[in-house]
Order: sequence, then C-alpha cells, then structure tokens
Amino acid sequence: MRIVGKLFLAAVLCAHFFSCFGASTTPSITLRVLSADSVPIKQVGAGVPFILEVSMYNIYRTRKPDIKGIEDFYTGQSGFQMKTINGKSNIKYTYNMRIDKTGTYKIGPAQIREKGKKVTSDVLSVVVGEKQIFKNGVGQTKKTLSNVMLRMSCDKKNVVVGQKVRCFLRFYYMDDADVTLDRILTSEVDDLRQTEKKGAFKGKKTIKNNLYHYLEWRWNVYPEKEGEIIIPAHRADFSIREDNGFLGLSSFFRFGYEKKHVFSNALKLTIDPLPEHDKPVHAVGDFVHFSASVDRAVAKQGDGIVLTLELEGDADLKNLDISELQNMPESLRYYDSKNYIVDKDADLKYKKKRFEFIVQGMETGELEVSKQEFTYFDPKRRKFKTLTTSPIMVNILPPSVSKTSILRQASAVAKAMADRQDEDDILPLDKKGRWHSTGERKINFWLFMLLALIPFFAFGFLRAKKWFNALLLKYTPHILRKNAFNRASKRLKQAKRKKDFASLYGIFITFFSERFTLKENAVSQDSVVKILQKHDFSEEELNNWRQFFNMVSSYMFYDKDKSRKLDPKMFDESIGWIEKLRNKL
Amino acid sequence: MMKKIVISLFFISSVFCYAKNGKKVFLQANELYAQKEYAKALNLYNTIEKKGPATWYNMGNCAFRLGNYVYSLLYWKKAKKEAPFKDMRKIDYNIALAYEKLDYAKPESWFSFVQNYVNAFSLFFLQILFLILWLIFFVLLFGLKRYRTTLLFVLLVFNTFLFVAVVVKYRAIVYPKAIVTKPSISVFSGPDENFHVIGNLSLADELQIKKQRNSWYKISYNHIVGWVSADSLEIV
Repeated sequence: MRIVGKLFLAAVLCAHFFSCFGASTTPSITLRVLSADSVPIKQVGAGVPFILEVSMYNIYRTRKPDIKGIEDFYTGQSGFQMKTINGKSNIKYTYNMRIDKTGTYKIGPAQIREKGKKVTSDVLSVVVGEKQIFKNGVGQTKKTLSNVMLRMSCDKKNVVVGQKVRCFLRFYYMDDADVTLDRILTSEVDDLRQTEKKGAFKGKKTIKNNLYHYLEWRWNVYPEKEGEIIIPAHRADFSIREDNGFLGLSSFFRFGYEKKHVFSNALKLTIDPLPEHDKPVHAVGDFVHFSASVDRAVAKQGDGIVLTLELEGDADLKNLDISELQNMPESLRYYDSKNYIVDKDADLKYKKKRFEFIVQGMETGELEVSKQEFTYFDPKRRKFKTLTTSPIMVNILPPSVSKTSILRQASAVAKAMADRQDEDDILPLDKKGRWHSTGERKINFWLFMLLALIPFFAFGFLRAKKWFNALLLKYTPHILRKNAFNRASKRLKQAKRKKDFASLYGIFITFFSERFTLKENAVSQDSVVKILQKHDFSEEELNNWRQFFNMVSSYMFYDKDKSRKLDPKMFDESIGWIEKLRNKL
Repeated sequence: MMKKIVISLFFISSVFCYAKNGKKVFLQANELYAQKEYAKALNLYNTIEKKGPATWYNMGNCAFRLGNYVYSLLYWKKAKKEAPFKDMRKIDYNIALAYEKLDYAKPESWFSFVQNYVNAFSLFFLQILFLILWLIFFVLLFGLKRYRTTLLFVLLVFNTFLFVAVVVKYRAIVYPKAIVTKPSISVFSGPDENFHVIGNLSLADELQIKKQRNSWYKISYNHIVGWVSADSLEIV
C-alpha cells in the first residue's frame, strides 16, 4: 500500500514538472478577439470597436509582433501587459480595432523572431455581422454598463443618395447612478456628410422597469455614395462613483470615482442610387417654395441688378448649389454672387436658401429673365418634382435717363409682372364674399319626415275610406240600410250649414243606394218612384216627390247659372222628405 | 322696462361691434395677404369667430402660399360648405391645384358630383321646396283632371331628386368628412393602438367620420371601417 502511494505521488510530481518545464518551454503566439469590455466574442459587430488580443508565451524579447492584415482595421490604440518568470515572459498586446463592413476577414498570422526562429500564430477568422455576439451567448456586461448606456438610432435606414437621415445619440444613466460624462468620441465616415451635433437635450425614459435619465444629441447625415454605409459606434468616457466611503466626502474630493467608457451600437444605412431622370437633379428632399425676384425692375444699361433665387425646403441646403441661370438671353449678362441660408422662423415651414446673382443689361429695352426650374427628388413619394419660378421682366434704359422716368417705368413693369404671375396660380382672394357664417338653418329631420308624410297619409286615408265604404256596402248592407236615415239627416244638416245646394242630389242618391242596397249609378228618378210606389205613396205624394227631386237635380248645376235665385228652404224641405221617408219606408 | 331697453341695446351693440370688428379683421388680413405676409394673414383670419365662406377661402389661399397644401385643401373644402353657387367653380379650381401639388389623384364618383351641386343650396331651402312640391303633388293627385299623368310624373321625378338632395345634406351633417393631415396613419380595429392594424391612410385622404370615442374617431374610407387617432385628422 505504501509503494502504491509513493508511485502515485511520483506520478503527480512528474506531471507537474512536465507541465511546468517541459510542455510550456516552447515559444508560442495565439490570437483572439474580445469586445471593448474585454469579453470574448464570436461575432464582431460592424462598426463596433473590438480588441484583438495577441498572447505570446515563453518569449525572451518584448518586441511587437508583425500581424498580417491588421492595418486596415487598426484604430491606433494599443495596450501591453507582461509577466516574467525565470527570464521568460508571457506578453499580451491588445489592439483596438473596428471593421465597418459585414463579412469574414482573415487576420494573422502574427509573427515574431525568437532566437533566429520564426514563431507564428494561426490565422484568425473574424466574422463581422450586424450585431456583436458574445461567446457565451448572452452579453456579459459589467455591472456599470447596466447603469450607463450609449445608444444610437436614426429615423430611416434605407435611403437614396443625398437624402437626409436624422440621427440621435443618447447617453443613458440610471436615476440613482452618480455619473459625470467627460466626453464623447466620434469618428468620421467616408461618403457621408454629417452636420454638427445639437444638444444635449435632457429627458427621461423607463427601460425594462428602470428609470433612466438621458442626454440626447441630434444631427443629420447625408449619404454621398450608394451602397452600404456604417455609422460607427460612438464612445462615451465618463466617471462613476463606486462607493460612498471617506466619510461621505468622496464626491466632494472626487475620490471613489472610476473612469470608464461605454460604446454605442453602430448604425447600418443602405443607400440606393437615385432613379434615372431626363433632367438634371439639383437636390433630394422636400421643397415647398422656389421663387425669383429682382431688387429693381428698371435699370440703366450696364448697371447691376440683384437677382435672388429663393428656395425653401428640407434638404442638404449647405451643399445645395445653383451657380447657373437657365435660358438667359445674351443681352443679359450675369455673375454668381453669394448664397446664404435663412434660418427657419415661425412663418416658415423649412429653412430657406438664397442665391444671389448680379445681372447686367447689355442692350436697352424690355428683357426677360426666363423662368428657372429646380428639379428635386422627393424621397417620401419616390418621385421627381420640378418647381418653376415666374419669368421676370426688366426694363433696361439708355445710360442717360432721369430718375422719375425710371420710377414710372418700374411701376408699369411691376404691374405687368403681377398680372403674369397669376396665370398658373391659385385664384385671387375673395374680398367681397361673406366673411362671417350665418349658420345652417334646417328643419329637424323627424319633423321634416312627418311633414312629408302628412299628404301621403291624407291621400292614404281618403283612399282607405273609399275602399272601406265599398267594403261596407258589399259585406254589411244591413248596417248601412239601418243607418241610412241618420246619415242622410246628418249630411243634410252639414249641407245646410255650408249652403251647399249642389250636394243635395248626391245625398239623396247615396241615401237610396244605402237603404235599398243599390249601386249609386242604379239610382234614378224612375227607380226611386218605383220604390215609393211599392211603399204605398199616394199619387199626390209621388208628384210632390218628382217636383222636389227635379229641383234638387237642377241645383247640382247652380254654379253655372249664378243668376238663378236659390231657395234656402230647400234644405228644410229635404230634411222633411227624409223624415217622411223614415216613417213610410 | 328701462332694464329691458338697456339689455336690448347692449345686445344689439355687441352684435354690431362683433360684425364691425370681424369685418375689420377680415380686411386687415386681406391687406397682409397683399403684402405677402401669408402667415400673419392666416393667423388674423383665424381670429374671426364665425368664419364665413370668404374667410375660409382666403385662409386656403394663405396656407397654399405657405406651402401647406393639405390645410389649403381643408380650408377650401370648408369654404365650399357655405359658398354660394357662383363661387363653386373658383373653389373647385383651387382645390384641384392643391391636389396637384400633393400629387394626389382624387377619385371622382357620381356621388361626389351630386354632392358638389347639392352643396350649393341650403338644407332649409331644399326642405321647404320639397314640402311645397310634395303638397302640390297630392293636391293635383285629387283635383286635376287634364294633363294629370304627365304633370304628376314630372313632379314625382323632381321631388325624388329633391329628397335625395336633402338626404345627402343630412348625411353630411350626421357623418362629417375629415381630411388626413399626416403623411401616413394606421387604421386600427378598435379605439386604441393595441388593436390590430387593418389599413393605412395617406396624406389628404378624405374619409367619413362615423362616431367619436375620446380621442379616437371611427371612420369609413373605401370600404374600410376602423378607428384612427383624432390628432391625425381635421374635420371639414
């Protein structure tokens, strides 16, 4: 048992010595990529800084290694770390790098000369994607990085050459973090014009239930070339307090503060070329106004007139240039003078840019500054648009003309210009129309519908009444028969009140029709006489009836014979006849 | 009695002063427009309380000159609501220019054509005319013997048109129109952004408002019925 124990101890010691002195005595170099926070990564983010770490083991000399393919991506900062044991050193060189395009890149091999021999590393394959990916999956950020963040964003990622992209950079820090921002480091990007950063604007935002304060900078970028452009990550250097020691005076004396930095994300922009167009394109953006004006419309030959082209729009106005006038007559000579930007105020939608030209009339007479065209690409609507100024008339006078004459001519030209301007324009103001509202009067909808339905109902009621009477006559003759006297009396009284002599005939016809179940057109003088004969009326009574009924019949047409005197007693006589008939029939 | 007279005088003088001030503001704004101070003119027109068709029309001109074509469209459409028939062509001409500037091809339908002409008459006038002719129709139905069929047919056809016109006017009051004033807005299936997006509307789209709930409008546009945020629309 003791022998076994000794053998085991010997084996362990051999293995230790072998590992310490045998295996590790050979010089070697390795390469690996780390994030800016020194965390191993398996994919580098395009435009995001990373560290290339070159580790050299068992080296006697501390010379920098030669690394193939590093030049294009090296950003100029490096670090050095060395440990020496028994004259041999383990050295680490770190290089800050950045690659702005996605793809796979070969870095290495790294090489040094050690005792006349070449020591070479393997070639490192660096995968560059849109985002940085850590080796262990989820990002292993340090504690401070959750307190402080730097984020970059933009309003659009796919644009055309020359189109404005609004960019935002936010430095977030947690509500309770004691952070002082020292500086922000940016990088220039080829083929991209960047405006000055405006800010910092302060704000608050809740991210994953944590309240962050932020400082925001805003700027615009204008891509100048098609393809893919990476806006590289920005770096923020800051100081953060790590503890509250030293009797609470640490913040006063700046003790306990640690200098740190944080990188933002990078932004990838895809830039498309402008579509083809038959006219020269001056700009990309949104323009609302393009006009031309002159400081005076009348000048002497050879005198300078200032012609101003004014453009209002949202675009890269700084780089926008109009140096030539279109279709200028030979008799007008011009020189490009100056241009300047007018800042946006409450009355303007966008900024303005003015281009001034000095125009000289070389001949006398009325000369025209042709209309000027400005063609631009509207990226919102993906269309080319052209704005046109109105032509301007200038009157060039001979060198010896009086001032009064110039003024008189100037007003005439101004009027002519105003007339011309209205041709392709909106119609003029309404100066005589009704400036105030009288409000809209209306009948309530339901009242209107009710009023509209009244004639309809009245018509329906009359039709229904007629139909009902016909039905009554057809199906309930006994009721009609029974009530015939009462109805006749009632109608006669109504006719008497209205002095309606014409209705008497109809009342008697209806009475006989109802009483004896006859159709109205079947009732006549003869048929009535026959009925009365059947009911024991004497001859004298029949004669009286005939006389009476003839009179009633003639009253039907009294309107046509107004000269005739009508006897009001006829109504009483009619009522008397109805009563007589009631007794006998 | 004295109290009543004083109150009446106060009321009459207030109305008179309002009218006088309004007219003065209108003329001042016209002057500013003539001096090419469009933004100031627009602001001044905007101070007029009960704007009439001429005020809305001139506001449209100011907005157009300032390059705000959507609002010029909105103001001219407001002007058209109360404008007399003789001004319709003038307003239509400007509206067509605004659509051109916005690169917006406005679909013309027979309904909009009818509405265009119906707008020229007041609702009250159409209602009264309809009721009178309707009454005449029924009176003739009972009384007239000669030319009865022809006359009744003509009256019936005319009255049908009048009734359609009245309905169109009522519809415009109950379901007002609105114009989209933002470049692109989403139509949601409910009055909240958490609902599904069922469509999109572009700048200057004209839609009909069905109802309102808080800051959301239920709208109808090209067979899409959904909800949009009130701040992206302006009611005509």
